[in-house]
Parts: sequence; C-alpha cells; structure tokens
Amino acid sequence: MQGRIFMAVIFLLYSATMAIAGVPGDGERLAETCTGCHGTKGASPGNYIPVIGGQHAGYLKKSLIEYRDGSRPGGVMANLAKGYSDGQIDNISKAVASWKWKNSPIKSAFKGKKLVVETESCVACHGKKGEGSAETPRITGQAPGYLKVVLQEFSDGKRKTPEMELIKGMPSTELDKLVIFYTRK
Amino acid sequence: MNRRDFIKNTALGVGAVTLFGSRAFNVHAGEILPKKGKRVVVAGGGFGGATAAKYLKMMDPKLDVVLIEERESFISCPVSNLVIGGLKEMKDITFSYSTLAKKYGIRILNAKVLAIDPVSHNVETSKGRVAFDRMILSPGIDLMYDSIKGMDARSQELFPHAVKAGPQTVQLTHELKALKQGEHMVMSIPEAPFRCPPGPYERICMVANYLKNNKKGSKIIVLDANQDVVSKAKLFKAAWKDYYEGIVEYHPDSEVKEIKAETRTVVSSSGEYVGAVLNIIPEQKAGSMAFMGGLMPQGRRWSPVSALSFESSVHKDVHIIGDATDGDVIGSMPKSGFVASSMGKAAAASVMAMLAGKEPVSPYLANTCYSMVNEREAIYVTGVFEYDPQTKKIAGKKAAGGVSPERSVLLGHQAEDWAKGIWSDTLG
Repeated sequence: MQGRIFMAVIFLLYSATMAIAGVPGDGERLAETCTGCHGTKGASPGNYIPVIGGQHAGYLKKSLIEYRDGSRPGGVMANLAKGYSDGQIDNISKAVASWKWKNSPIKSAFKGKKLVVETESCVACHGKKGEGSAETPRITGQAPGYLKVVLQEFSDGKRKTPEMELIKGMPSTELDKLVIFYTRK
Repeated sequence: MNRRDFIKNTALGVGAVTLFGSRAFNVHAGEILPKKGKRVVVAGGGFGGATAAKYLKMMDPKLDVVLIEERESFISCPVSNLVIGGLKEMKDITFSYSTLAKKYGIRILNAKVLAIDPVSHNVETSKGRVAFDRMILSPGIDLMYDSIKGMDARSQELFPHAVKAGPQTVQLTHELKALKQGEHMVMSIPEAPFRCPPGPYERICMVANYLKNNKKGSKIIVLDANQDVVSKAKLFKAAWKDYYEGIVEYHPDSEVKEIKAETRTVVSSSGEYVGAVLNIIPEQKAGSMAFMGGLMPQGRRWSPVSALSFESSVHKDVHIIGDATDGDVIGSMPKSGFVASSMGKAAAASVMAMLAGKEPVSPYLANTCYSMVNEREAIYVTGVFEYDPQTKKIAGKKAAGGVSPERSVLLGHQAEDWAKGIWSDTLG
C-alpha cells in the first residue's frame, strides 16, 4: 500500500515536470517558428508557400531531412532546415502534422471546357482524393503556385524521387493541368 | 530566473526605481478594465506585441489579455519600402486589430502608455489605469537625433526617416513623386544596430527602380555610417550594379555630422551632398516605453532582459521583446519583425509557465527576411536561434544562417507570400 502511494506521488511529480497546463511542449514551440511564413497552425495564406498544418508527419520529416542534406532544392528552407537536429525535425514534423489541414485559400481557375488530365498514376500513391499518407504528401488543396514549382522541379530532374520519375520531362502546360486538377475551386 | 538572480539584477536598477517615484502614480484611481482572474497586459501592438497577445490567447482562451496600442491600425514596416517605390499602396500594408479582438477575445485598448509601475503592477494610459499580473512590453524603437547637428524638431519633420511605417512613409513617397528630373535624393544610414538591417538597402533598390522608370538623370546618394552594406551585401551590390548603374551612388564609412536645412545639404565625413529629398535615418534606441518605470538602467539604450524568459533584468513580472532588447545581453539577433514575432511566441509561453508558478521554457527563434531588388526579384536572409544554458544567451545556429545564393523571380513570389504569412500569423 505504502509502495503504491509512493509510486503515485512519484508519478504526480513526474507529470508535473513533463508539461505545464496550457504551455506547449518543445515540438510545438519549435513548430511555431514555422508559422511566421506558413501562417498560424501552418494554414498558409500564400500561393508559393505551402500549407503544412495537417500534412503527414512522415512526409514533413522526409522533406526537412532532404532540405537539410541538400537533396531537395529549396529557398529559405535549404538554410533553415540545417538548424535542426534529427530529434527536433521529428518533433517539428509531429507537431505540424497534428494541426488541422486547411485548404489553401488560393484556388486554380480552369478556363477550358473540360479538363482532360491523366491522374491514375497520381492516385496510386497520393490516394483517390489526393489525400496522401505517410511519406506521400497530401496534394489536394495545396497552394497552386507551390505545387507547380515542385512539379517543375521533378520535370526538370532537379529533384530525384523514384516515384516522381514518371513526370520527368513533362511539358509545363501538362503540369499546369495537374495543378488545376488538385487545386481547383 | 531564480530569486537570487533577481535580487542581484534588481540592485542594478535601484537608482532608476527611486527616480520613478518622482512621477505620481495614482494606483487608487479607477481601474478602467476590471480584472477577471489573472491578466497579462501587452503594450505595443507591433509584430512582437500583437503576436504575443494572440499566442497567449491560443494557449489559454480564458486568460485575460489586454493589448494596449496607440494607433488604431497596424501599419507594416515590411513592404513599406515598396510603397515608397510606388509598387504598393498604404492600404496594402494597413491592417485592423479587430480579428485579434473578435476571434481571440483580446481586449484592445486604443491608448497611449504614459507610465508603468512594475512594483505595483499597474500601467497608466491616456484612457486610465490598467492593472496586470505580468506584462509584455514590445516598445519598438525611437530615433536619436542628438549626434546630428541641425536636426531640430523642424528638420525632423522636413527630412523623414520612414523607419516606422506610417505618415513618414506617405511623406517620403510624395516627396519622391514631386522630385524634378535630374534632382537627387540623399539617404543616410546610421551605424548598426538599427531596425531591420536589410531595410535601408532594400529602400535604395526601390527608390532607384522608381527613379530609373520616372525621373531621368536623378540619383539616390547613400551615406552609410557602416564600413559596408550591413546585410545581404553581395546581393544588394550586385543588383545596384546590374540594374541601377549611375542611379545608386553608395558611400560607405560616411557618417552624417550636420544637416543644413535651408540649402538641403548633408554634411558627412566623406563630403557635403545636396538633395531635393533628404531621407535621414538616425541612430536608434529602444522605444519610449522601455524607459518607463525604471526598466532601463542608466546610460543604456537597449533593454536588458533574460535570454530565457525575456523578463526584464531590472524588474520581475515585466517581459520585454522585439527591437528594444539588448543584443549584447541576450545574444545577437537582427532587429526584424520576424524575430520580434518569434520572441512574442517564446515570451508568451514563458509568461504562461511563470503565471502557473513554473520555470520559464526555452525559447526557439527564427528569422526569415526577404528584400525586393526590383519589381519582380527578391533575395533573402535566414537564421535559427536557440537558448544556450551554458552561456545563458541565445545563439544562432551557424549552418542555418545565410543568404540566398542569388536573386530570383520565385523568391519575389515567396517574398510577397512571406508578408501574407506573417501578417496572418500576427493579426489573423
């Protein structure tokens, strides 16, 4: 009995040091430095800075590591990612993934009659609704400008991910259609 | 900070605390916002203060948060150089505080702070007294004209600094428009540290771009007190060479000594220059609120605070963030809107912990800052900063600090979105 009380006291003391009510933990506080550009809770209001809140943790982690080691081209991210350890990247990714996804307020407009676009290969990895999973990003509702930049990087061979090899050399006008498909109104 | 540290630090501020007594602080006068439970008063609604208030409420919607700001609207310094260059308008950089009130329940008090009493935990404003349990001060900057002869009150009005976005931004924009072809603008840059290290240099680009397109034969003559361009030097100088040859005349190591208002002459250590428009940016110090309540030790111009919690080194329960903080005390960081906002989040978390009687939590800070070099292309600088318990200072992560390899149109797009991002994170 005394042992149990002792254990309970230890547990209470332990949990008191773990978290302070209302004060975000290290992962959340690290992730909050991202929101200066990506918007509060990662809901980016811009066209060329992606929505990150609610993105899959596996993909976020993979991206940050690729930015850090230089295998993914990036502007500010190529620098910023170098400021974080593996553990911090893991924590940031989990915190950002825990936020609720909000579709980008920027939508592509389609002016033609019928959008003819081949998305079967996209669906195979990104899912029926472009929702993604694990290391495959959610693409539906992403910021259109950003999505185009990423697709162009794959098309130009600046970024090498085996799954995306299939769009290598794809003309810009075809990439535009894919962007419209996943980010239209 | 533990109690012993606090007592030690307080000793440093004793003289100033006594001085405070000379200003009668009527704590018995009515409290204008009756307190509901614990209250944090945030004074100064710039990037630091507004972000701190919002993040406090995000952590605890029940916390009583009062944001005191003199101006009715938020006017952004970032992007204000584009207004001067004619690429944006004031309405593009002017925002309301109403979302902070409606969405987060922050009580916005549109008033001027007149005095702060850190001991009795009261702020006296132009609308009356407000009590607090903890306070976050985001004082911004003030200008120091003492070192320039002839910069009297009238000259200060005639020759705008435009480093606080607002009426002076409008004034400089109008003066530039009224410039006759072939007339010049003279701009001076003070010795660092000053608000927004790349700011003056982005302004050179924006003004030069405007002159190139609108005022044939006109130049911008720059007198920089520093040995070289303070931020993104190579990138800025490449842009001046590639786009503004013969339009930007840059003089490093040129300190302004005197202004002769009648002849619009700037006397500097490297010669005298006449301009139809003078943009005189003087040396800077922490904003006036940082000097209230004995919070600023004698002879200092930036606020000493704890690098862990941003609590004042002089008085407990008052935290100071943003441009006003002393880089020599907490570790060197650029005095940027992004860093101020980052400090706002960090200070808010520690304030929450300390209100609960716990130790402050480690600050994680970042900086990202883009500058436009013409209508379409931008460059950037980044930084990641963390608290080092050994030195008790905030230190930059070397590998994460740096500038863009080149200027580009994509960075121009990202620069525009960066502004949208930080405006929404601060006010939306």
